[in-house]
Amino acid sequence: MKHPAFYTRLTFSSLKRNMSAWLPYLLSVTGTVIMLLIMRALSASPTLEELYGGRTIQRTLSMGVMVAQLFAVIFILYTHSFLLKRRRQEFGLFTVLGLEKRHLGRVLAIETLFTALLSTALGLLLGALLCKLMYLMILRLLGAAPQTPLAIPADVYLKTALEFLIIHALTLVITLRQVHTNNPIELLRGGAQGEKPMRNRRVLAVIGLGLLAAGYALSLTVQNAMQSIGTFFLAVLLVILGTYALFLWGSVAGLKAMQGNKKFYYQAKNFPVVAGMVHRMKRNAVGLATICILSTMVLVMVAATGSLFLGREDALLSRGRDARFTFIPVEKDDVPPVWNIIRKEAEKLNIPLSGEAGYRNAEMYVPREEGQAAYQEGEGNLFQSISFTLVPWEDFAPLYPKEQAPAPGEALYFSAYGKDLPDQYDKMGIPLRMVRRLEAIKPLDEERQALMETYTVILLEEDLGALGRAAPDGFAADLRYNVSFDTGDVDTQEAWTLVNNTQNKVAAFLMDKALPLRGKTTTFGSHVALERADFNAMYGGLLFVAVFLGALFIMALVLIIYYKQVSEGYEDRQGFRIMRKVGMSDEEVRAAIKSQVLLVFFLPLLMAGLHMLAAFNITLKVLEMLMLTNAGLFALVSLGTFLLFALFYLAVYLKTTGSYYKVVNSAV
Amino acid sequence: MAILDVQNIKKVYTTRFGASKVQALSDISFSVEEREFVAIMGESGSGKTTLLNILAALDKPTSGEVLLDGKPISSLTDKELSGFRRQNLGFVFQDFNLLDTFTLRDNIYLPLVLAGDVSPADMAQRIEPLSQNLGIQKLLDKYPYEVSGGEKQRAAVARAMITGPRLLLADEPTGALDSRATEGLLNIFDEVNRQGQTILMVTHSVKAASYARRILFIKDGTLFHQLYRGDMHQNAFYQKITDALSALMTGGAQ
Ligand SMILES: Nc1ncnc2c1ncn2[C@@H]1O[C@H](COP(=O)(O)OP(=O)(O)OP(=O)(O)O)[C@@H](O)[C@H]1O
Ligand SMILES: [Mg+2]
Repeated sequence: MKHPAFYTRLTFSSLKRNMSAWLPYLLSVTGTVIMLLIMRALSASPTLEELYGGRTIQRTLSMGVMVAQLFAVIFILYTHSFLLKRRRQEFGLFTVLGLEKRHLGRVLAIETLFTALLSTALGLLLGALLCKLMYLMILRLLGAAPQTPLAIPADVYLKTALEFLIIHALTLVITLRQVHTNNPIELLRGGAQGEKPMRNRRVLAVIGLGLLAAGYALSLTVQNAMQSIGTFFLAVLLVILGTYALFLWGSVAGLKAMQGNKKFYYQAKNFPVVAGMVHRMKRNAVGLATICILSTMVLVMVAATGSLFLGREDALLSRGRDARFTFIPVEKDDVPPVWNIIRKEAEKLNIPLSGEAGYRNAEMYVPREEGQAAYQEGEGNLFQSISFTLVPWEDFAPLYPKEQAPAPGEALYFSAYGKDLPDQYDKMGIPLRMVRRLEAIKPLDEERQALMETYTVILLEEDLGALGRAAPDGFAADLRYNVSFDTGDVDTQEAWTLVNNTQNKVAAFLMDKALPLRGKTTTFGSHVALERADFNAMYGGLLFVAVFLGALFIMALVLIIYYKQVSEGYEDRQGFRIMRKVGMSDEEVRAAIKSQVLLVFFLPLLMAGLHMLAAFNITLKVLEMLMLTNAGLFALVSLGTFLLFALFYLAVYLKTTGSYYKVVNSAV
Repeated sequence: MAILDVQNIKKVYTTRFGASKVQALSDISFSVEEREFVAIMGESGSGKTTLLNILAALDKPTSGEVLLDGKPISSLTDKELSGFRRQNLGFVFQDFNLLDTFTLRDNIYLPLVLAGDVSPADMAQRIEPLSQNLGIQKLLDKYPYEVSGGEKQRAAVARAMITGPRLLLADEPTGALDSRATEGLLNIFDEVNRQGQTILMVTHSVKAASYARRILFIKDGTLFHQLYRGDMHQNAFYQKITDALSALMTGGAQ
């Protein structure tokens, strides 16, 4: 018994016997290794970092790595539990036949080690190859030409291998615990014993519904984008927990009700199905909830990033004129020379200008509530501040000739945040009378729309001066000068040259003007062509990560469905055989199977659809932060994604039902 | 007319890879009249279960024919077969074949549910006296893995009888029972037989066999001997069976 070769032989003969369960397990672990390696390698590769937009992809990928890591653990443990379940009987037999638990442990350790080494080695090898392919895909996405081959740091392999060794060790611990805590008779019985319904069913229902309602409410009531990110993850967590609780309760309560309804229960097509589901009501519920959650994740992720990618031009449209500059500080007299510089630079590049507009403004931040720290030059919290953009009437009037001038001590204002200011307002340091709220001032207000509480206030030049002198904390004393104009179509290179040269020339001019106050000058410039390139990189990167994670989840989904079907097939096989002997026809067996899977498989899909619907509002808000405000587009893409997914789901379901049927009909 | 007519049944099992062949039955013929109570005896491995399976159309003979009410069962389609089984046969399996996912009650209801024309109230009415007689009325809501082997066997008997089948086939129905439960079960068989139930029972127990009206002895796949009880008292019949069995074991002539 002590000969090591004996254990190895026993291990391999046992693996061979369990090939049909072990092989899919090995494949799914290998697949997970591949996925994780690719994500890690790409997010850490210096080659990718040097690409334009590569950093964005890397940042999103490394967030994805965290999700994928967590997911890998859950997924592998879940699939492993199926393997374990099928083998309980075998373990029991071994112990009854006199193999000590200690020795059985050794066999299992060898087996785990073998599985771990094989899957990790295979995964790393294939992953390294596939990395190159992904790299080429990213290059295409970013529109870059391949220059240097992809370099992968060695510690990426090490980290991945180590992580999976730990996960495998965990599976071994779980297996050993099973072997040790169960007596051989229980092990021998395998899956015969049915599950007991839990006692506090009503509590579970209340908890489940409560969690789900809370999650839904959070999602549906989120008002602005900034709030949405933190809320999003909280809502996701609530909905996940709620789904599990609800499926558990629903499964038990629903089945009990079905069993209670004798007319329904004692029908040939329902009888075996309901009894079978009662037998595994909890496991079934957990499986279904997992399927539902994975489906929801795939749906939301793909719909969101898909809309972003498809709507990326929309995001550019909402930004106003083609080119935009901001120069700080600019006095009234500096305005004509600044325009001269701009025109000269455009002329050099043969770019015709049109729609030129310019206005000065000043920025001011005050605390939203007493005691909060207002934002000031990079310090403090932007979201605990109210931000004011102060525009002198003199600059505003030419842009909006129809507006009526405010009197001294009066101001007009515009609120992108959608809130009114009180008539008498003194938070800014001097009391102002807010005479009118303007409806829309498109060219003026640009980016920070709706993200935070922000107002544009138009007032006379002398009042602006008085505000500056009263100077509470957070007042940017320097006036900025904002310029915008259209250029027509230019390519990225021209746009870059224009923006860069103009910024440099204006900065030099402002520096040269030796004003006493002048600490530093700041210039900011952008062009639609440059932003388009940035958006492409960002959305392309997001889409890449989403497709990647989506593929991972879908792989997991298919495997879980497959495992569920096949393992249940093995469990039900004996039952259907007996029922045939008692007089159930093949047709009735088929009908019973069909009604079972129909019920079981479309429930998660429906629930996932409901989740997706509930997540619509909050996802839209998150998207707003990424500059997508086209709700119609998002709705359309969501619908399309759902339909596509349902089709795919149907295909998986048909395929796996086939394998279930095959297992049920196979000889024992 | 005979309810069951077995004509020259032969069964050869081929092992999975065709490596070897086992002749389980070689040329068996007999018939069973309506209202008869027949026992089949023979050594372990002599082919009794094989024979019963073929009679219930759970297995096909290699050659030969089984006629039920004069109709060959090989002529039935799969669908007709399952209907036929439901309507005419009650089968007590040697290994019980109870479903772990059902309570004993639901296991017993199974053939009624499959038949599809009995209301839940009727089912409850039928199970009542049956479970009472078999002494399992308190166990009806337990699962098979929660009861003893003998209790399972009695549930299996109840399932076979609940439809009131024309032919009751029982494979070692007393195999897992103690002597009291055995007696109880056999008395039930005896009683339903008196009321007109046709029974075909495989058994190793001389005691059980002595309840039957006729005994078929099987050896090495052939019908070796037959005994009729006639007007004999049960004890005398018991003695006769014992004698026949020892002759069977030693392989002596009839
Ligand atoms: N599915 C099968 N494949 C191959 N051989 C079989 C198969 N079933 C039974 N046999 C063989 O056929 C012979 C008869 O088996 P059967 O089960 O009919 O015996 P039996 O008389 O019922 O025995 P017991 O009293 O032990 O139940 C045996 O030798 C057995 O090994
Ligand atoms: Mg037998």
